[in-house]
Amino acid sequence: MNDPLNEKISQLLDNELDHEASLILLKTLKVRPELHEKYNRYQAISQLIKSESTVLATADFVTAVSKKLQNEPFYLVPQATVAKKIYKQLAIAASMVAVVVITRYAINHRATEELGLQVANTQHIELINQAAKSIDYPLNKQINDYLQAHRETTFENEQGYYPYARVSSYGHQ
Amino acid sequence: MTSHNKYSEQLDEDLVRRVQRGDKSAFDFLVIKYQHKIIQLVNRYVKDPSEAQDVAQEAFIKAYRALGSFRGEATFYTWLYRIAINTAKNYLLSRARRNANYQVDIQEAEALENAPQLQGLETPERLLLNQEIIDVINAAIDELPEEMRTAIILREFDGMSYEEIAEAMDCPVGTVRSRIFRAREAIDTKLNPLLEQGDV
Repeated sequence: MNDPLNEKISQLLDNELDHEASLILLKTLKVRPELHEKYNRYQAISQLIKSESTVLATADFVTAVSKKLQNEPFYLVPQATVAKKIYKQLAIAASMVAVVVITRYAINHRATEELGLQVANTQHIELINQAAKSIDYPLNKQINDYLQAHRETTFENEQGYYPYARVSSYGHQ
Repeated sequence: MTSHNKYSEQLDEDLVRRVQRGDKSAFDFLVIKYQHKIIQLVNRYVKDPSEAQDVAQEAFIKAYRALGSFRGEATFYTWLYRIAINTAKNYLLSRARRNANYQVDIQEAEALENAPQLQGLETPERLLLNQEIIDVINAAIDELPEEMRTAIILREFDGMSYEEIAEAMDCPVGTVRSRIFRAREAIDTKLNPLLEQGDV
C-alpha cells in the first residue's frame, strides 16, 4: 500500500532523492511512525549487509532529542549570505571591468606607441632627407656658382663678356 | 562530487539554514536523517547499544548548540561526525572517572572502527541473535532474483550510484531504483520479525 513512499524511502537512504522530494518525505516520516520505522529498518539492513552488526535507533529517538531542545533558544543568525553573494558578484564584475579597461588601455597605449614610432620614423627620414638636401645644397650652389662663374668668364662672343643669363638667352636665340 | 552526494549535501545545507533562521523543527529532519549513522558511530566507542542512544542524543544536542557557528566549511555530516566522536570520547573519560576500575581505551575503540563484528557488548544472547540475523540476511539475498541481487550488492558493497549501476547493468535508472527497493523489501519482510524481538 505504501510502496511508492517506501520506494522513496529507499531512494532517500541512497541519497538519490532530489531536494524537494527529500524535504517532503522527511516531513512525512516525522508524522508517520510506521514509515519512520521502515526508514530505520532499511538503514539497519544496509548496515547489516555491510558490517553484519547494527544498533537500531529507538522509536522515540527523534522525539527525545526534540524534547531536550525545547528549552534551547532559537537561532536568528543574520543571513548575510545573500548580501555577501551580491558583494561577491559586484566584486567579480568590478574586477572584470577593471581588467577590460586596463587591457584596452594597454592595447591603445601600445597602438599609440607604434603609431608614434611610425611617425617618428617618417619624421626621421624627412629630417635625413632635409639634412641631405641641406648638405647637398651648398655643394650644388658652389658647383653652380663655379660653373656660372666660369661660363661667364669663359663664354665669349663678339661683344665681349656677358653675364651667364644673357649668354643663355643669347644662345637660345 | 557525484549527483547522489550532491542531493544529500544540498538538503543538509537547506535544513541548516532553516535552523539558523529560527526554524527549530528543521533540526528534527537532520536527526531523522543521521540518527542511525551517529548511533552506529557512537556505539563503536561506548560498546553499549542503550548507552549509545543517550550519547548520540547528547551529540545532537551539542550539534544544535553549535549550529550558530557552523559556516559550512565542511559538510554538515563531517561536522556532526566530529562532534559525535568528541562526545563519545568525553563520555568514556567521564565514565572512567566515575569508575576507576573501568578500563577505557579510546585508541582501542578507534581501532575497532574497522572491525565491526567485534562491536558492542556481545552477550551470548546478542551474539546468537546477531548470527541469526546474519543468516536470515544471507539467505534472503541468496533467494533474490539475479538482477535484484546484483543491484543491491553493487549499491551496498560497492557504494555505486543508481546511474553507475544502470550503466553496469545496462538498464534504465528507474529499473535500478525499483530493483534495489524490491530487494530491500524482500529482506525486510524476512528480517522484521527478528528485529522486533529486541535491539540488534
